[in-house]
Amino acid sequence: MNKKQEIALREVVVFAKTNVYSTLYHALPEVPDDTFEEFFQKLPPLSVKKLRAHAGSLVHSADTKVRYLLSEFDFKNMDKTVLLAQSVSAEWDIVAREIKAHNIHSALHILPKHWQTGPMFYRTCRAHGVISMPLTSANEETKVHFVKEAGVDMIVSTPEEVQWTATRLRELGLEENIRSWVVIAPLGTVPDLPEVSGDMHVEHHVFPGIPLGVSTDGVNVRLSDEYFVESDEKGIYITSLEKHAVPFIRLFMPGHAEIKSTRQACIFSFTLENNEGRI
Amino acid sequence: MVTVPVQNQGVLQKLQEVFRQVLKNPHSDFYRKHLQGILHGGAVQFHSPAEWARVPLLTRDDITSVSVHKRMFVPSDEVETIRVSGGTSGRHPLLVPRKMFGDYSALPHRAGVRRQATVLNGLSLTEESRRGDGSNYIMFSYPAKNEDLKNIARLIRLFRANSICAYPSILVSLAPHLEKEGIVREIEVLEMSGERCSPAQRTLLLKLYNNPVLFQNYGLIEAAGIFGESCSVCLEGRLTSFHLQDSYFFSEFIDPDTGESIDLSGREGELVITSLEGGQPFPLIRYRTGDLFRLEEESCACGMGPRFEMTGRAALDRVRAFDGGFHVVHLENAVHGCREYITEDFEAHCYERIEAGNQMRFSLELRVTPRKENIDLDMIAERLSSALELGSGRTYADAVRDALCLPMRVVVLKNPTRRGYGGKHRHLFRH
Repeated sequence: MNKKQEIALREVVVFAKTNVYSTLYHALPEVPDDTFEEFFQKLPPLSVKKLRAHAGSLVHSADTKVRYLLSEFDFKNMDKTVLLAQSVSAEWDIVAREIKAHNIHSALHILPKHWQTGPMFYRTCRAHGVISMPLTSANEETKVHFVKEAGVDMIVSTPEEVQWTATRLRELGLEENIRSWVVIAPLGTVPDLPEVSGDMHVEHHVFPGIPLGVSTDGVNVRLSDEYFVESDEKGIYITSLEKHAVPFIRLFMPGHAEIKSTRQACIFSFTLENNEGRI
Repeated sequence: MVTVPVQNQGVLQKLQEVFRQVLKNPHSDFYRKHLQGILHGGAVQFHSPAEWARVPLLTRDDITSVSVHKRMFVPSDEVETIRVSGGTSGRHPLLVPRKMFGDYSALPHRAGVRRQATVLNGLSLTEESRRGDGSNYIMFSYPAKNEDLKNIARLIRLFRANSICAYPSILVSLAPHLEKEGIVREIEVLEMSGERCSPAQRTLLLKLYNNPVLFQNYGLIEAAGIFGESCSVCLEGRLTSFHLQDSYFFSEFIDPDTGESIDLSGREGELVITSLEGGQPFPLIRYRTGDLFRLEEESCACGMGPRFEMTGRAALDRVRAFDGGFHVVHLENAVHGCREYITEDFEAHCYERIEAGNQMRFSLELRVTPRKENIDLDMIAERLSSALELGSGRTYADAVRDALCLPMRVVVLKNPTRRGYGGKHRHLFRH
């Protein structure tokens, strides 16, 4: 934990402990003036089970300033889901970066609708003057039609959709049209990525719509500037460095983690133990 | 009731500007080609009803024949999104460049929407168009399987929704699951979208949800938004009729068989719309929506003029009922599979009725043309039922076994119904 992170973490803990909208973290101990790192490491870990068990709202801001997200990637697990939230003004960083890096003209979004990523995708594309094309996971030939007809040059999708789409586009001689592929994968999974001619980045989401970091190989993740991560033999602990709509304070994910910190960024790899442990 | 725009000076001026913009447009020559038969000196004359009637009707086929970039009337950085209309079951998808228009937050707010779950096909961008009223939204896909409704009901409970926006058929199917979650009475507002609400569905929805506020929104992907609007009379009366908002489109009605402009008094007509605002990526000129309307009230007590009821599709091509519904192409495939017994000439008549226990039951009667005398219609019914694919990937026979619908009935087609849309034989009828 460096000084800048300590300041940010301290602010988040105070924000959460005194929040007027949610009592989720009200039981945390008082933040000491010194020895913050020691204090922080002793904070009880949070789990999805605890989030689910919380009686009140999890949202740390006014209800009308957020959009709701679901905690489960698989729609079959809705009996276990928790409603999380993100600010309606949130911009999708990886999408914005790729738009600028490749001078993207039109971007196709093929993600399950219950992930609620459409509005953030739309908003980010609009902010950068890019035509957005939202699709859900159905209509395989329609995706091809979009690429052919509408000049799509960026695709944001799941690993499975990317596999199918890249193969199909290659068969039609259209694969090179896509200059940027952004693959969304659940944190702790290692996606099977196809070879493509354009750039490919994998964004690892801790919950659908909540990215934790980006990798190019699906394994070594560059942690987002918005989070702080610790690890031990049991797994990783994720804490928000910003006052998120639902801030995480030592959110625990069971599995095997290896963290390599560099001066520029924290790089880590993580394999989720099992989904039951997560939820 | 005005049926042609030339009788209204305000509308006429707006149309003149739209026509001027599309005919001089530097980005697309779509309308210069489409209207070339009636151009005089590079302009279109429509100062009389007869001249307006000469402006050719625009169909979906006219649009899909031209690639989307060749029909963008604004620079591409002014296009917000490209949406797709159709494209299922072999139909060529129509890509529509769009820019959001209007603020559609007022009506939901008036209706009492505070937290709404939308359960619709395609990706809803309602958040962008509606947040102005301070309400909150969550979205789910249109479920392909009935079992998804259980999960959706749970999420609606978690979200503490007081409103649901969905196809009427989904709202009916969702009600028992909401009852099991203990929240059906918490749903105060039902917004119906994507298909018309039949009288039977309306009756059932009012019973199942304990007299909720009902309103039907009407819009088209091609039109880039919603422009059918319920008024206070509709909301108080739980009516499914609505006004066609006239700021963005001029609405007229035609006979769907002949294409002639008609007055809706005492009859049904197909809605045709023309953009009244320039600046849209693809303005519509006399676009055949394919939707049938009747006039419910010439002059509504709210002061917004005529009020309409949508009665169906001119070329009904799909049914959304249970298990993902089915498309007319699925029916054609099933009939084709029995071609040794029956010809391709058939009609499918769909009925919904309310049975004991507030159950909506869908039934399908297939009227077929046998190739020979005395064929076993029960055998044909069994074969067709097993062959008719539903959107969920199951078959009609599976749905019958699960009591989602009544067994298919097959009878001999006598006195085929009038030819419908564009002269094509119509296969699907909804009652």
